[in-house]
Order: sequence, then structure tokens, then C-alpha cells
Amino acid sequence: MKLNGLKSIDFKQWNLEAAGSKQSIKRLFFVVSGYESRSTYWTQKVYESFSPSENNVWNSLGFTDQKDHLHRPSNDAFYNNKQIDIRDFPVDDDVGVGLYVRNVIEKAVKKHPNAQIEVHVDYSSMPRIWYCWLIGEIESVIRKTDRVYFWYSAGIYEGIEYPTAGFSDFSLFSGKPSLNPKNRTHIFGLGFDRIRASAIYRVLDPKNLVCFLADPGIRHDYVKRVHSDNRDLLAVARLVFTAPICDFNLAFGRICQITREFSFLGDVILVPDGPKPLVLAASLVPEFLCKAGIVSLHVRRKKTENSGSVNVAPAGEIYGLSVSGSL
Amino acid sequence: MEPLSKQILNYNGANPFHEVQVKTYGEEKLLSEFFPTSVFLSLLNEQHEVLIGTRGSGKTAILRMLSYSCLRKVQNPEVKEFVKQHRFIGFYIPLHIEWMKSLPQDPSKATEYFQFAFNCKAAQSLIDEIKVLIRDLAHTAEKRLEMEGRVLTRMAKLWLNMDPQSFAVLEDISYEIECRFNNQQPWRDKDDNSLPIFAKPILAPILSVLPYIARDLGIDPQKTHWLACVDEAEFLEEIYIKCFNTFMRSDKRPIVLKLATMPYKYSTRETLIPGIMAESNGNDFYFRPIDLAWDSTDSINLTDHLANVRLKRNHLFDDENITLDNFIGKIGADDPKDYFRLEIAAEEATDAAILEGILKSLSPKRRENYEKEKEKGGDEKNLSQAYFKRYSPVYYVRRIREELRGNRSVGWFSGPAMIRRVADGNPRRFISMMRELFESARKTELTTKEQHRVVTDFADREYPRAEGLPEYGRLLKGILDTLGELMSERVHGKEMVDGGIGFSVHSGLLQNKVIRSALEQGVAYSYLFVDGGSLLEGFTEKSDFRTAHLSAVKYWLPMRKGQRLLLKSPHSKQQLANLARSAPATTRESNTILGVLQLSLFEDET
Repeated sequence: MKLNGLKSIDFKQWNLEAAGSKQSIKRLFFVVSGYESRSTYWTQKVYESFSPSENNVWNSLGFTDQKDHLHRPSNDAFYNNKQIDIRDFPVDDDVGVGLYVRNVIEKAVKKHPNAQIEVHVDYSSMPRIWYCWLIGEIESVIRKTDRVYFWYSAGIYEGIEYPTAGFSDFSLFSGKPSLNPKNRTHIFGLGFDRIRASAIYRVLDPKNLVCFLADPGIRHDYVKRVHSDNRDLLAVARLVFTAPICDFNLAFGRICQITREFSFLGDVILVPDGPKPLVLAASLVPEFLCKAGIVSLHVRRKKTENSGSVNVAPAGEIYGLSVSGSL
Repeated sequence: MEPLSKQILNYNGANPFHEVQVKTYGEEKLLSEFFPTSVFLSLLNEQHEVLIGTRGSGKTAILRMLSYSCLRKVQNPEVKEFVKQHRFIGFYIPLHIEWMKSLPQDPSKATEYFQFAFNCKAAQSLIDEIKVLIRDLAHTAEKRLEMEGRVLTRMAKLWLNMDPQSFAVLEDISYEIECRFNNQQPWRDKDDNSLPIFAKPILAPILSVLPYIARDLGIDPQKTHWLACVDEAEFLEEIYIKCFNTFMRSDKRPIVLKLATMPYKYSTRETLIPGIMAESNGNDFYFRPIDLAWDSTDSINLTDHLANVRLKRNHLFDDENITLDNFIGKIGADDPKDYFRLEIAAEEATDAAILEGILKSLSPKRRENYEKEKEKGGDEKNLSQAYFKRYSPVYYVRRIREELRGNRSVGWFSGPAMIRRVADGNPRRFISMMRELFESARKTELTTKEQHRVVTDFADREYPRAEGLPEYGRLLKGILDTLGELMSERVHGKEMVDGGIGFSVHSGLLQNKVIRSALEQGVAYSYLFVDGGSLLEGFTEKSDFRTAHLSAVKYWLPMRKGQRLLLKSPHSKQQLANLARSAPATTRESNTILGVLQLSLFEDET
């Protein structure tokens, strides 16, 4: 994972400039038809300027399950009206999604060997296993002159579910732990799921706990709520730091810096949670720092046949990041 | 005598009870806090043992202390003799969750890789301990170098198949093992015939070098037992447990396995050989519960030791013998009656007045029974004592709770014995409570009323944390709430009954896997307690449960068993079996299950 030329992107400015930029850029769009109402928000904002053409190719990814949940039918209708085909994948099929996206990009690179390619991924409604995996996949198939953009529409959570987590939900996303670390530091990302965070804490039983949360966050009251919901964990943390949701580059740099510092003491176990940009940032740290003993543990969000899905409506803000390819 | 807590009034330094875990304690800190309980001493034997302990019960401390580098510093005559004779040389192998999760996704096809990874870990741990052992055995630098060279040669040849000249010190061997682990990609079982040496059955590579190493070190291989202390085994997948069972089933001495896990997590007795089971009756291994009863001598000594060491840490006290009792101070004999008398007017707190109060609170039928017994002309004193003994704990909490009306504060949940009770023998819970008491003592005098405030606040904060337990937490919290409320209704009802916190669970409920798992989790995290047999072998409808004393504080319950109660649901076994098939993922799902369950408590006639 190189993350060459990592930049935070101001969506409004990009949208303004890109709409008037040279037509020779080939753009590939990967969006999601999920059950959240924010699934189509980013597309609505950019579709007019980048309607399907030889230069603008749109792809939509859907989930094979939960097809009738919440806004999924209307989101499907939205993309169908725009003649954007929806390709369904099981929620846990990160490899399948990766292969599909890779394949589309490789074909485009082959077809336009001399053109600059931009890949745009709206990961607002993606499961974490998809978007954390995708960035590395895309980075590795595009050239240094091409760029990939990841876009996130901030959301307003409608309803509270308080999911929990168990040992079986944990998986190692990236990095490799040491055999016998002399010390271990756990870095927890915190969000609204206080029960889940507590369950993760009870499974991991960390000694050296470091926590981070989004601040500035999507809304000021969200930051307060994260503080209040996670007061037990924050009270026992050795260190608490903030990472801005609006500036991926800064957030990623900060998490990397703290991780690197604690890695001199022993292993560092990142457990990302909270808003997606911070989950993404924390998940990429082990591959980026490429040091033995730095790992990212993902905790799967449990879904059972009876558990409801929670709608997330668009809050209005869109945050972006961009990296260039490594080929 | 004035409690020592008065001496920390206005103290601004660090709270010595801030740290509650020993996981990454340095050796010195671990040693200073460690108290060799009888359980610990009894683990120094030649028997494979699976240690069963709740979260925070001290499993890690025990296993780390069994490692040679720590054991040699234990100030206990028996242990010192063992160390002198090199009877037990322990090495500590923690199975961290991230390490377990770095193993292949499909464990059933990856036992060889697990064995490889585990053996790499174990070999590194052994090397760490051998380095210390060499320092102890060789008294000159030359001798040390010579000894280390001999051991290094064995390991280089037998483990790594490399020229010993490639290594200067044992640390280099350790580094080479780390490199091999890092460079080895996981593989599926039987994919490759040329397996790494470390892919042999667990601990086999270690077993292969021990006779030579023992000779090189000049210790008697016949007398020395090497304790492989495996910690955090609650994360083991069933297939990996089979690897350990296979090891224990076949006699692998001089290696002795001490494996620590949480209750109900050692899920199989099967070995890797189909049809062959490891027997837990001592033939192959023993289960060893390590939790302490709150009033056991071990628990009292341990809590005193922790209080003593921690309170002296910041040079707060010079006194050589700080105990919980002299730090907190106690009333009378630290008996509930002493605290009752402190709160209730003297004329109401005599034994005669208490008995009168008890009789007045009983139902007319029970009162009538008492009068009938009395009229029979038996020993009236004995009869009164029996009633006093049976009902006074219930009477005290009822009566003291009445005192709370009108914003009056009381000092009921206070005193050293009460603090130990609420800690329930769990060192981590004890330290957490001491942290709060220390915080309070530096701001104000730790009167019985202040202790009561701290203890009830602690219970109010700790009790709801049950819902944050993994997987079944929300459901468990719902069950605990129901139990607490129903028990409280009984205890504080119009007529006094033989109330307490003991109960049993109807077989229909136990047959539902989700409910049983929630109860198991309650036990694993010390929110529920169960009799010893049920702790090791699983629940039956005869299992004796009780809620934690934490719940008793929360719901104002007498901390005693009381009349046997049965937790039941009105649904049939068949209905209950179909009620919930998987762990509820959300609060809503848990609430739905609890709503349908309609749990109630019945006086058990069986």
C-alpha cells in the first residue's frame, strides 16, 4: 500500500473544476445501491456533470440480500432510471467485488492506454470489508498518472439499534502480529455504538488503550454524543486523540503517527469504528507502515434475519480523498 | 484505632488503584502485587491442568508467576525449594486474539499451521526462560557463554537445521524463529509433504530438545518438569482445543500443560484422533477452578496484600502492615448487625427488638407457626435464634431501606467485609472498587455513610455494564434485571419472606442454547455465580445459581441464598426451544426475546 500523492479533496471545489475540465479524462464511477437513503446522494450531485458517455462509465454495486429493506427498492429504481446496471454481491464478498472492480478498470486501462483515468468510488453505503479492500486493489491496477477518488456522504442516523459483537465477529484485516510482543497497545476508533464498543473492549480486554474519535465530526452534537456514549472507555484510555472527518489526509497522518509511536513499545492493534473515513484510515495504517506487529482488527456488524437495518440519510457534506496509482 | 484512610485526605498524587490489570505489568510490579494463594501453590504439580477462571480472577497473574523468571523470586519456602531443585521450569505462552485471528479462516483445515505457529511462540517463550535459567546456573561470564553456546547449538541443529556458527546468542535463535513465522504463509493441512519442523504436534519440537538442554544445563531431566503455561485459551477454536487434548491424552512428560481459559470455553474433550477423548478426571488432565470465594482465607489475604502493596506504592504510608480493615476501619466485629445498630435507634436494635420486628414483619401464617412452636414448649431460646438467624439478614435490608426515605443517607453497604463481598472474590473488581474508595478518601472522610455511597455508586455503574458484554450481554442484562426486580419484590414486599439471591433455572430455559449461553456469560464475567460442579460440567436444573453481590447492592437484597427460587417461563420446552436460535444481534432483538420469555420466579418445591 503506497497511497501515492494522498490528498483530501474538497468536494464542492472538485465538482466545480472537474465539470469544466478537459474531456480527455476517462472516468469510471462505482456507486452503491444499498438500503440507506444516502446511497444515491453523491450520484445525484455529480450525475448531471458526468452523465454516461464514452468518457464516463457508471457501475453500481448492490447487495444480494436485504433487497427489500428500507430505501433499497427506491435506490434500485433511481439507478435503473439512469440506465446504470446494478451488480449484486454478497455483503461479505470483498474478493468478488475487488475482482469485478479490478476487471472493469483493467479493461479501461487497456482500452485507453494513453488517456488519463479517474476512478471514483462512493463508499458511503458500502460495507467496510469492501471499501477497505477496494482502495488497495484499485491503487495497484492504475498507473501513476491515474487517480482514484473515494467519496463519503456524511450521514444522519435515523433510529438506534445498539448492535453487539462477539469473538466470532473479529477478523484480522491487515498486518501480522508478533509472536510474543513485549507490550500491546490497542487503538480503538469510537462511534455511536456504545454496546458494540463495550463488547469489543470486553473481548480484547486491553491494558494500554488509546482511543480516537471524529472531531470535528459530521455535526457538533455527534461529537458530544460519542463522548457521552463512550465515557467508560474514554475514562480508562491512556490517550484520547481526535481526527477530523473532513480531512482524510490529516486524520490518516495522525493515526499513523500515534501508531508508529506506540509501535516502539510493542504491537499495536487498531480496532477501527466510527465514521467510515476513520474506519478506512485506521484499516490502511498497517499496510502503509508495513511494520511487523501493527495490525488492524475488524469487527463484523452482526445481521440476523430479525435485526432491522438502520437508515442513514444524507447530512449534506461530502468528504473525499484521492491517491494516484502505483503502476 | 483511626482508619488509615484519614491520612490521605487532601492527597493530590496518583491513585495507586488506577491500574486494574496485570497483563503487561513488568516483572517487578507483578511480583510485588502477587500473593501466592493456596490455588497457586497447588498448581506446582506434575499434572496437566485446565484452569477455569472468570474475567479478572487472576489467571494471567498466576500463569505469568509460574514462569521460571517470576517463580524464582517468590518469597515462599515451598516455592524456593522447588526453584532450588529446578523441579518446575515454566514458560508463559499467551494466545492473543489478534494472533488467533491471523490463523487461516477455516481452522478445520489448518491444524498443521496452528501447530507451527503455536510451537514458534512456545519456543520463543522457552528461550526467554532459559536465558534467565542460565544466568542463575552459571556464576561466571565464561560459564554462561559456554552454557548458552551448548543450548544454542542444540536448538540451531534440532529446530532450525542450521549451522550453530550462524548464531552468537540465544536471542539470535529467537529472532530466526520470528523470521520463519513471519515469512511462512499459512497452508492447508496435507498440502505439502515438506513441513517445517515446527509444524509437528504442539510442543513436540520443545520436547525433542529438552533432554539435551537439561543435560547441557546440568539439571536432572528426571526431576525437572517444564510447565507450558498457555493463557487466554478462551479464544481457541474447537479444532485447536483438540490439539491440546491430543497432547494431554498422550503422556508428554517432562512437559506439563497449564492452560487457562474462561468458564464454558473449553468446549470439547475430543482429540485429533477420531473417537479418542481426553479424560478430565485426572487420567489425562484436571479442571481447576481458580476463582476465590469472597470470604476464603486466600481472598482475605489477597485483598489485604493488594491494599498493602498499592497503598505503599506512592510512599503514602510507612506502616508495615496495611490491611483493608485498618485502611477502611470497621464497626464492631464488622458484622451486618454492627452496621444495623449504627443506623437504627438503640431501642430498636437490641436482639429482642430485632426479633420482635422480624415476627411483626412475617405473614400471619408464619407468625402463627412461630407461636405454635413456642407453645409446644420446646427450647424457646433455640426457636428464637433459628428465626433470628433465618430472617435477620432480610429484616436488616428491609429496615435500613426504609430509613432512606426522606433523603436520609445510611451506612449499610460499608465496612471491609462488605467491600470484599461486593468484590465477590474477583481481584479486578476489588481493585476497581478500591480506586473509587481511594478517590473518595482523599476528598472526604471515609465514614460508613461515605463508603455506602461509594459502594452503591460503584454497583450502579458496574451492574449495567453487563449489557456491554459480547454476544449475549444485552440478553444477560435483561435476565439480571428481571431477577433483581423479582427478588426485590419478594424481599421488600408487605410480608417478610426468606429472601435472598439464590435461584435455580428451569430445565426448559436451560435447553435453549441462547439463554444458556447468556447465563454462561453471566458466570464467566462474575455477574452470576454457580456451584462448582456446574461451573465445570455445565448447568442442570439442580444447579445452584446466585446473582453477584453487585446486584444485591443494586436491588437491596440480602447477600445470602434464601429460599430456593426457580426461574421459569410459562412456555413449554418445545416453545422455548424455538424461541431464539441465534444470539440476538441488537437491543431490539434481545428485548423481543425477553418480552416473549415472561420470566418469573417461583418458590421451588423440589
